[in-house]
Formats: sequence, C-alpha cells, structure tokens
Amino acid sequence: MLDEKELIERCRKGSRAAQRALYDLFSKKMMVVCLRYARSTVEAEDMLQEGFVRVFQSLDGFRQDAKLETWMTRIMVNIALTHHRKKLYLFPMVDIEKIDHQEAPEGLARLHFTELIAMIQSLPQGCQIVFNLFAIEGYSHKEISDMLGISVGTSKSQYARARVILQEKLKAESKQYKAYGEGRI
Amino acid sequence: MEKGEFEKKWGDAFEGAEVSPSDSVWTNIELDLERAAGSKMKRRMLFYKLLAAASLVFAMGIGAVYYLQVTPEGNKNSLATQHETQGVEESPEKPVAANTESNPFGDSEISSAAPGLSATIDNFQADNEPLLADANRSDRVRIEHQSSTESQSRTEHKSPGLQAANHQQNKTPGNENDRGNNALAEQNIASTLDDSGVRNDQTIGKANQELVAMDDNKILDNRKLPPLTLLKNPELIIAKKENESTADPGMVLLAKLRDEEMKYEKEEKKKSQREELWTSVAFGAGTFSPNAGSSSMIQASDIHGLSSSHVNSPSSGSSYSFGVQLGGKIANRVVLVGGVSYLTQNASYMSNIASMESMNLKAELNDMAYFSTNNRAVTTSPYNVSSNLQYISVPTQIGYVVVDRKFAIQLNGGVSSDIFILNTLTPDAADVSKSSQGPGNDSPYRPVLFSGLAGTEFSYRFSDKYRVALNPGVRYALNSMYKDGVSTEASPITYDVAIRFRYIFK
Repeated sequence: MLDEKELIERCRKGSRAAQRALYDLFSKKMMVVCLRYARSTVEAEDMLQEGFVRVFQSLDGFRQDAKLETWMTRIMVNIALTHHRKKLYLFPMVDIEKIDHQEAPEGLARLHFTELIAMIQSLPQGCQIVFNLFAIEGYSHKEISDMLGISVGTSKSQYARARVILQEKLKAESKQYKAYGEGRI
Repeated sequence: MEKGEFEKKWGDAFEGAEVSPSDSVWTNIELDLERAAGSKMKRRMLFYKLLAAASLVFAMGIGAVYYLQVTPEGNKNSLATQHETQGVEESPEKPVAANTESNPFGDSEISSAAPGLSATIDNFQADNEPLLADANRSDRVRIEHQSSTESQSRTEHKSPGLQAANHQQNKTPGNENDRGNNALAEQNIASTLDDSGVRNDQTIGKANQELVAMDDNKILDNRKLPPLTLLKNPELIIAKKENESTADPGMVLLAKLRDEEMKYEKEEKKKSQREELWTSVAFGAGTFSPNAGSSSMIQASDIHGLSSSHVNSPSSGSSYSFGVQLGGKIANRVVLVGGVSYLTQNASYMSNIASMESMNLKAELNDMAYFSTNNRAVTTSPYNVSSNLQYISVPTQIGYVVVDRKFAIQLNGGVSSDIFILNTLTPDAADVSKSSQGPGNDSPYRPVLFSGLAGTEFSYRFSDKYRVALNPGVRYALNSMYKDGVSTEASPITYDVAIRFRYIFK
C-alpha cells in the first residue's frame, strides 16, 4: 500500500487511481465535516465534491510537513463557508444578548454523532457556522470574525445562542431518554 | 468566551466519526476534474479567439482611419476643414498686402486645394494688370460684399472652385451659412483677393469661363508648389520610431502567449523526461589517415650504402573504438561527457626497411624517424606492412543540445588524451616477421597523444531509461604521434561514426 507521501506525489502527477485512493482514504471523515456545516446530506455531498476537486487542484501547494487531514479539513471548511457566505449576506447576523453558560452538555455522550450532526444542522445558519468553527474546529472568535467578516461580538453572541439551543436540545433528549428508561415511553 | 468542557465534549464527539458519501460524489469529482482540464484548454482557445477578434477590429479601425486620412475624399474633407478654420479667422477682416507673396496661405496651397481656383487667379491677374497695379498702390484693401445672383447661377454648373468663388461673392459678414459647405472655396477666393488686393465680379466670372479650358497640370507646373501638391494620391506618412515594431500588437501578444504556452509545455515535458546523468557504451568505426606530413622515403645512400627501390607513402586505413562514457547535464542545454575507450587504428604502408634482431628481419615502417633511432635497420625489397596502433583514449567533451526532445541533436567538442599502448606491424612478406613496439624510451611513439574531438550526436530516446545515438565525428591529433626528437611528424585524422547506447540514471 502506498504511503501518504507517495500518494500525494502521484496525485500531483494527475494519477486518477491515486486520486481515487486519496478520496477513499479521507472522504468519510470529510463527509462528517461537510455534514456539520450543511443543512442536508445533499448539500454536504455538494461541498464534499467541490472540496475534493479543490484538494486535487491545490495539492501542489500542500507542504509535506503539514498534516494532510488537517489541510483537507481546512479546505472543506472554506468551501462550506463559501457556500454559506452568500446566504449570510442575505441574512446578516444580528448581535444578541451575551449569554454565558459554563455548564457541561448534558447527555452528550449518550448520543450518536449523527444525532449531534442533526442537532447542529437544526441551528440557525449563523449559529451553526460559528458553533462549528469555535467549538469543533477550534478557531477563536477573532479568527471567526475575520473569516466571516463580522464583529467579534457578533461571533460570540451567535455562539452563545447556539450553545443555549443545543443545551436545550440535549436536555430534551436527556429527558426523553430518562422517560424511556423509566418505561414511560 | 473561553473554551471549556462544553466545547471539548462536542469536539470529542466527532473524533473518528465517518459517514460514507454516495457513489455519485466520486463520479461527479471525476467529471469536474475532466471538465476543469477541458475548460482550461477551452478558456485558452476562447482567449485566443477573442484576442484574434480584437486584433481584427483594431486592424480594421486603423485601416479605416488610414483610409479616411489618405484617400482623396479624406484629403478634401480634411483640407476643407483646415481652410474653413483659417478662413473664418482671417479672410474677411484681415488686411490684404499688396504684394502677392504676402498671401498668408501661399499660392501653392490654393493650387493644391482647388486647382481650378488657381487658374482663376492666373487669369484674373493677367486680365487685370492695370487694376492690379492700382491695387498695389493701396496699403490695405478690405473685402466688400457684392451680391450677384446671375454670377452664382452661372457658376453652379462649373467646378467646385468656381462655385466657391460665387459663394464668396455672396458672402456678407452676417451671412455665415455658406461657410460650412464651401469653406474651402471661400478661403481660396479670399486668398485670390489677398494676392490681387482687388475683387471684381466680372473678372472672376471671366476667369471662371476661361478655367474650363485650362490644363490643371500646366497651372501646377507654372507655380512653385510643394511636392505634396503634385501627387494625385498623397499618402499619409506617419513618423515611426526607429525600433518600433510594425507588427500588429495583438498578434504579437498572441505570438508571445503561444510561445509562453509552448515553453510551459516544454518545461512540463522536460520535468517528466529529464536527463541529468547517464552512462553509455559506444562502438565506433571509421577511416584513419596517419597524415604524415614529412615522411621520407629511405634511400639506399642513407643505409649502409645499400640501394633501395621507390617506396610509397603511408596510405589511409581504418579505426575502431569501443568504450564507456559517463555524461551529465551541467546547464540547461550543456552536457559534460567523459569516459574511457579502447582505440585501434590500422593503416597499410609500403616499407623497404626491416630491423635485424637475432638474424631475423622484423617489419619496420619506412619512417626516417624510427630509422634514426634504430641502428639495426636494413633495407629490404619493398613489402606491404600493416600497422596497428592501439591507444587507451580518455575523451572529455562538452556538448550543446540543439534539439532536446525524444529525438535529440547534440553538438560535441572536446579533447582526448590517447595513451599509447602498442603498435604492431604485420608484414606481407615471407622473410620479414611481425614486430611490436610499446611505449618506452626506445619507442618513437609519444606516450600520450592529445586529440581534438568534434562531432554531432543524433539520438533517439526509446524509453524512460534508454537512448540510442549515432555520432559522426572527427578526431584530429593536436600533436605528432611521434616524439619530439623524431624528425618526421604525423598527426592522424580519424573520421568515424559511433553508435552509443545510453542508460539514463535520472
């Protein structure tokens, strides 16, 4: 089996087989990334498709010292932001009251990641993006504000709103789970 | 807002998470990649098409401007415009000098603009000498308006210049409507009046009538006119910068883009087929000429008083070589090749001397050089002797790659250090035996012979790692194959063709 470095080299030369191998290696993980930013599976697949085309076209710029998965994730996120940016212009984010919840997410561990993805997808669009960027990708609010062209305050408020919504959803899931456990459902 | 347990748990929730996308995603990716490759070419083609179209439009625009400025119609228009401007500013109110040479526009201009009017002027002046004399006495004459409907209607059937004359007559300070259409004619008339200082309707009318019979060329010949006015179709001459290209800039750009494109393709191709280091085995064969410059025949008186028959000079022979080489690219098109090869050169001679060793006659060459070092030589009946020189050759060559493709052409030049090994003389005579001479103090042969090398290598790459080459070339000895103390000299020339099989390391 080819190692990652050789695979990249062959992809750079345009080998379709190598590109397919690289796709097989990372497409499932990247699909999860796209699903988190998309509103539906179809949209996520569109992002994935566009993202991989960008990956193959940009491989010459990939530095071997970086981690390929991280680099590809960044490309997917950028593609996702490009998808949403148009919509975000149509529906500008609005500052909301700052809410600070430090409590741990209740019942998160009991849920399958697909359920979590569904929760994230149900968030308002702005909240969804900011939540993904901040909580999962690990960007700071300053970075997010630069990426999205919004203020730091807007980023924080959108994130806070996302947290509240998710907490509520998690609590609801938890209650349902308890009720199921107690035999009431 | 700091990242806490909430964010960590969410982050961890997706660790190792995988979802399989549908099969159509890869199909679409493949299609997109193919499309991207195709559209890249399409974009280039579209760009070229647009560029070509733009160039065409540009060329047509330039052509239209050129046509309007150069053709007679264009000239008329432009001249009319020019004169209109000048006429409006100067003619009605300008004081007219009595001297005809003071005409601000010059006679030639009048002639060039309206030759018919020039005729009018000539006749006018000829017929009105007394009047002109009177006019010359006046310091200033102002143009006065005199309407003449009859004159106007008469001149409408004549030349534009004559019509213009009538328009001029009809002109009043307040009547500016005619200026636009007849500006040229007006100006000409104004000039006429400037020359003469007098305007007379009857005179002009008479002049108009006479003009019909006038020869324009004659009029032009009689006057001092600038060369341009003698041309029927004057050309627009635009001063060009010395180094300015006359090529269509669009096409130049197109050519440059094409060059860039080809250059890019070449570089891409080279990247995949670069030849940085290689080794080769070579076999060469050719003709060998000893090229003995001052070889002398042994005369009987030279050796113990024995007589000798006439002996021929050394003839040409053959050369064979076999060796290995190592080559490398030292610049974009420059290669350095070195190696080692075994070289053998054969030539037939006629000799009439032999060396006496232990009562045996051994073949010797008919060289004075060798003879002078060999006291045991004796003359014999002439016999054929075949000389076989053997060298170890260490060539070093610089090559310039003229064509660097699958089929390549390379010009080579360099020097070779040929280390002498052995010379074997094989006689064609029963009483003379074979002899050999190696290097050493008693050898007339120079231990190292330096030769200049030049050749052209035609090669063909038949796989990623192999190239076969045909190399016709010449090898010319830079010094004599004999030692300095030897009186004769021989600088052999070899013309050979070598076949090389090259293995490309990288």
